[in-house]
Amino acid sequence: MDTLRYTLRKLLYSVPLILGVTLLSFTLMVYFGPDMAYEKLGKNATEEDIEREREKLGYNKPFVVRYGNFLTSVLTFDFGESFSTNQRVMDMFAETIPVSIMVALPGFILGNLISIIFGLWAAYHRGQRLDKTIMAGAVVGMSISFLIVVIVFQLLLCSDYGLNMFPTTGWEVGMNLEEFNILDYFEYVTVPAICTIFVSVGYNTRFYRAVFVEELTRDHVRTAKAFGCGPVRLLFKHVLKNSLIPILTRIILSLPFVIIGGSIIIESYFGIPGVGSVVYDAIVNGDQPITKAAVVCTAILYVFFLTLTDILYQVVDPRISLK
Amino acid sequence: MTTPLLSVKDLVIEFNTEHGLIRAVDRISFDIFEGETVGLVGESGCGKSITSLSILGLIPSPPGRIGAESSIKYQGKELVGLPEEQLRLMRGHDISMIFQEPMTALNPVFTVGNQMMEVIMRHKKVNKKEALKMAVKMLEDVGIPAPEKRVHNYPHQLSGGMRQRVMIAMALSCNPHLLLADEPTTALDVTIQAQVMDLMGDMQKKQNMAVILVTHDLGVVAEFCQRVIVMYCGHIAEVGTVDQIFNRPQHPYTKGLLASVPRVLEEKVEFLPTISGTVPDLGNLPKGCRFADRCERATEECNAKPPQLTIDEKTQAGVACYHPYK
Repeated sequence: MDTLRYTLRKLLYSVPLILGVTLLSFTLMVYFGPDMAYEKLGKNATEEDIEREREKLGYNKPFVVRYGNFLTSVLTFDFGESFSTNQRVMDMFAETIPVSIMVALPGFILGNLISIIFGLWAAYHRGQRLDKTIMAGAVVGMSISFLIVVIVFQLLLCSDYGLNMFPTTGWEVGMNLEEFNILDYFEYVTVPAICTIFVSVGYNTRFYRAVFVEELTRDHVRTAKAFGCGPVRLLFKHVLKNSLIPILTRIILSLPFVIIGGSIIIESYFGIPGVGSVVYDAIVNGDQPITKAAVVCTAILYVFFLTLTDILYQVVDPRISLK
Repeated sequence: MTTPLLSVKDLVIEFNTEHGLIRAVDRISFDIFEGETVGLVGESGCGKSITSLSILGLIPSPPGRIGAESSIKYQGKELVGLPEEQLRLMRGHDISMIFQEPMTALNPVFTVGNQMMEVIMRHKKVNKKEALKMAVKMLEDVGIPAPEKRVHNYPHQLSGGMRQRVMIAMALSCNPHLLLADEPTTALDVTIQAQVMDLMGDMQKKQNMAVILVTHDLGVVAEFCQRVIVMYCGHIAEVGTVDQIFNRPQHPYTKGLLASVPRVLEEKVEFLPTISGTVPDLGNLPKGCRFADRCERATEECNAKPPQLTIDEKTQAGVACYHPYK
């Protein structure tokens, strides 16, 4: 009951936050943004044509009215149609977001799991050779450019120079229940996932190791050892649960990016029709309905996940009570 | 004389620090016999806490390490160099430990029952239900009211004294033969201190275990211990019964230590005596007796060569001093 009340209040408080985000993004992107009338009509338009088009787009209405219209679109989740494809924005998102999530999630989850295990392992052997080896590996992994990682794995796994086991690019996976085939999915997701893992493990391992090293110096860890606790139980029970707060924060707050941002590099290099490439194209082309929708959706997801982390904190640490 | 329960011989504990290798404990030897309570006293940094940690093999390594010639024998079994897996079986089962800070020594995110059951299930082959029953029984034994409810509490929901009781319950849950109590009452109120010490005394009698009480509180030692080991700067200065140490101290350091304890019942003193000077730096130790600098009886001899501690087999008493008080 307390949790429910807390959640509702938290969501209520987030209304001003979302309003602020919309105001900022509206002012910067829409009000001072590119004039679409020129883009739409091309080079040979007359003054009158442009004036008419601007009228149609609502450019000469006052700021407040235009912002009001923008807010209406936020509230109704109807951001209109894309300037370049004339598809409804929400339809485009509905089509591409699942693809992005499906591409990003396996790498995201596995990357974090592997990093947590490496982090625990390194922290337990702090200062010893194993720790130094893992940390050196992390720095090497961090230092190699994403682009090179992608190309190397494509060469190794998708080409005649290597194993040639997976398609280099594309996404021929059925996106509804009848057409979905797990084997197709594995075929297309494996290489992008490996690349994501390779790139993220270095950063994450360093972060997690620091968290675990700190936790390992605590008195309760010494107590557990003094009562005969072995290393596996020590790490996975006593250390991991106590360190979950920074871990959860890091993982959950990067989820909005996984959902809306996707990985532009992964999606463009592997020719995957995800939301990342849609948003990227929209930014490049000044396709305002899409950029508006992306900004607003990210803000809303952020608020949602922030509230979720607060609730999870309480689950993880009994000393925290939601007030 | 019976064989000792625990026999520490030539124990050396060294730490690798930025200032080079530091010998925190230097060739100390002592015996602990079954069922007795021995106070390990000395000021902060004299090596008493790490001596107790080393018995359980808990010296963090690196940077710490136990010297090659050191020997710690428990019931005749050598603990130094014993594989970690075998040591683990003994920790909490044969030898248990109670720590100073009941606030932080328990894991904050698990219930006390969970932590106690973990220990019980590890060392006794029982299932979850039986372990819970044993945990509740243990909590009841250490005087926690409504134990079947408290067992599901988290440490932060208990008071400091309660937490220390939980700690004691956890330490005694597997009937250890030896309990290492590292300043068990230092963080507690005076009234709670007495309760906790009484509790430990009762439990000790019930389970017939030996207790090493690491403390700087001489009052607690006088009341609860049979024998005392006085440590100074990584060495043992003096060993003796409580009666000997408190009434006929031989080592000048012991004498100074006792003189600096305020007494309520004796005649009023203008100043509380202190031991002048400071403890020598462990990285830069004098060649001779480590107390010589602060000792009024020090002579040439004291500065030349450190005095050796010789323990009388029969009385288990001894002093490391060239000019002991008689």
